Amino acid sequence: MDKEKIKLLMVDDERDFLNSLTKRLGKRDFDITTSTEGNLAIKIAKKGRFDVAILDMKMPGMNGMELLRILKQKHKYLEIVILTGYGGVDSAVEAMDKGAYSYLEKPFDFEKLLEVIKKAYGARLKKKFEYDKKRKKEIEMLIMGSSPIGILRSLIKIDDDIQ
Amino acid sequence: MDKEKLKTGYYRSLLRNVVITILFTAMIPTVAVSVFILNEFQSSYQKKVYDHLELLARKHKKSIDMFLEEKLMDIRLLANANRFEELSNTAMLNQKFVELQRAFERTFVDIGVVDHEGRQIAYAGPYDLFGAKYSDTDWFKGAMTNPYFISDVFKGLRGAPHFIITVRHKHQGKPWILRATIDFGEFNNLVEYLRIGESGFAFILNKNGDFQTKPVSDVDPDRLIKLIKIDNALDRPNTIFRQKNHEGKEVLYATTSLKNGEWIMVLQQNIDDAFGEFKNTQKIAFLIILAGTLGIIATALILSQRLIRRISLADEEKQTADEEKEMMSQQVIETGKLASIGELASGIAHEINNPVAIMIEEAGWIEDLMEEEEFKQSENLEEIDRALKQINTQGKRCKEITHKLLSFARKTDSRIAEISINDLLEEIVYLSSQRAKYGNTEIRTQLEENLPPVFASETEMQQVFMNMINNAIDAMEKTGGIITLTSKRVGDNILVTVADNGPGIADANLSRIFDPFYTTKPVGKGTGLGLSICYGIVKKIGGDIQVHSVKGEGTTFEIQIPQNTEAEVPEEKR
Repeated sequence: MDKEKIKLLMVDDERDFLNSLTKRLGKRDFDITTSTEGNLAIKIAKKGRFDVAILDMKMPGMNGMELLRILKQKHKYLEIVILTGYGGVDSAVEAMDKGAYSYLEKPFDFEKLLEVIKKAYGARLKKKFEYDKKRKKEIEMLIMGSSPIGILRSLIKIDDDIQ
Repeated sequence: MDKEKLKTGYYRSLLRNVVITILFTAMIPTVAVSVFILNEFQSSYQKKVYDHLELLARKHKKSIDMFLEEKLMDIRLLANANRFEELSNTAMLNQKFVELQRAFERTFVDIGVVDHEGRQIAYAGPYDLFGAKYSDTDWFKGAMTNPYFISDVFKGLRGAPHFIITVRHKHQGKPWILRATIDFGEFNNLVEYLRIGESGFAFILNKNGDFQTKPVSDVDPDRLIKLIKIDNALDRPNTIFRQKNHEGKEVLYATTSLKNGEWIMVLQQNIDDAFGEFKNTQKIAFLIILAGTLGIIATALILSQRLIRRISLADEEKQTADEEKEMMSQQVIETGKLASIGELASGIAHEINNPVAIMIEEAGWIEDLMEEEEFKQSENLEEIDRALKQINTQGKRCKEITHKLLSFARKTDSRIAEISINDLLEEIVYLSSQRAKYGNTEIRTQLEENLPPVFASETEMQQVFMNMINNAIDAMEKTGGIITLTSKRVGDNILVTVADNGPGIADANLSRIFDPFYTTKPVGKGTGLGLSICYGIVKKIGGDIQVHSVKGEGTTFEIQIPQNTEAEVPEEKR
């Protein structure tokens, strides 16, 4: 099987920016989905399992901070990188408090972006691994002392949790 | 110039108006009241004088009338008490006369009996008038036709003024007269010693203007009688009128009729005399009014001048205050403009970031594509490569420019932090480079290396140096020149100098350049706040600014910044 591609969700109000970045990142084996609007992005995130999301802070309509909060709420293990304008250190700090993994100042070095995405992905894997381990232990416990129906139910629940 | 002219013309007319108003307002009531009071006083004084005269006249009329009555009474008594035969006896008459004289002293000069033919048939007295004939005399006629008669004063047979009282009786069907001569002297005394005021006196005239008392020299009786007749005074018991006497002097006359209108007693007094007191009062009053008027005029003039001066001063002050307020509001507007420009700039910077980012991304994408084999053979590979790198570089440059612009346009951030002066200076030089190029100005730097950091607000220090460099560029706008920035360590301080070789600053202005609102730039070009704010900022962190200048050679600003002013760091931010 192919090496698993990192699934990216990018949200920015500039369509051109998304296009350009999508092309470049696409060449480097990323699976990229984009949206120019916050509410749409939330819907998309629900449907697919994304590894890392990249959000622009300054957007009309729902702004980046709000989107960050909602995504983080719904998808605990989704790592989020935010893009800020120059001098937006304050908003970066606030975003980190709300659960963002890291931030980048626009305009940024492409290489830096790759680096941060990879790091974010690494962090997600780690968390997932930890969680998996925990759950494995729980399942073992469950299987040890449960009915087949109970096991099935638990399995379904685990699956949901891993979203 | 125009202001001065306007000032004098305007204020002069204002002064004139005020003075006139004051004078009118003060003088009119004063004059009106004075005139009114004087008038009232005059009329009441006149009344007093007239009343006084009238009273005198009446009093004396009474006494004179009484005198005459008395004498008449005496003779009547005598005539009634004795018979014709006794009285016509000279010896008897003499006896009676003596009795009379004894009783009344000198009043009766003589007495006599005159028959119906006018012959004095009996006489007792000092003169030799026995047998005198009186038939042709006026008095005889009057005596015969009236039961009692008092004659006018006349000289008669004896040659001395006298008048006669007669009583008429009948004897054996024929009338006879008892006649007595009244001493003129005593009668005259009744009137002559009458004194009115200082110059007033009295006399008696008969209807024809003949003196009945001792004639007075400065009275023209005929003229007077005429005047009296004109005034109808003869028909009235008492009158007062004033006329010019024969000498042209104004005289007050009071007339009163005597002897049933046959005689007139005249009391006269010079107007000057009668109204002397009044005239005095009038004079004094006039003097007072005059003095008062002068006082009012003087006060009006002086007060008004002071007033107008105050007003002009106040106007000046107001004008100055208005100008300052105007300048202040201009400053506020300018500051506001600066603030909004700052916001505009940061807005633009943010906006530019996006397209620049996209450009860089696309260039990068092309670079990626160039990695494909098919492009690697291209002859222009190097050139394409170079071009792409250039795009990248320029993009980065845009980023730096916007970054610098944003950091400068940020709202004044007074947070004190550790800053490197040299970094700051270099940044500012970079920012000013465009402006300097346009102004034909070169900026050189001689920055000492490894300067210790200072504690200050980055934005504020930016403002200070920015301001100085801009001032230098502005000063050398026409001629161009060189600005030299140096930084070095001096003791516990860091010394930054901003020197230019421009036109310099005159000594007179040098002492004032840190004053707020002081500027030599034309209106609209500078607010004059720059250096005063710089001064404040530097002083706040414990530093100092000095300026040296030589006209024609250049200006140097020396800014001393103390290192590590821990004391200045605010408590909350650390």
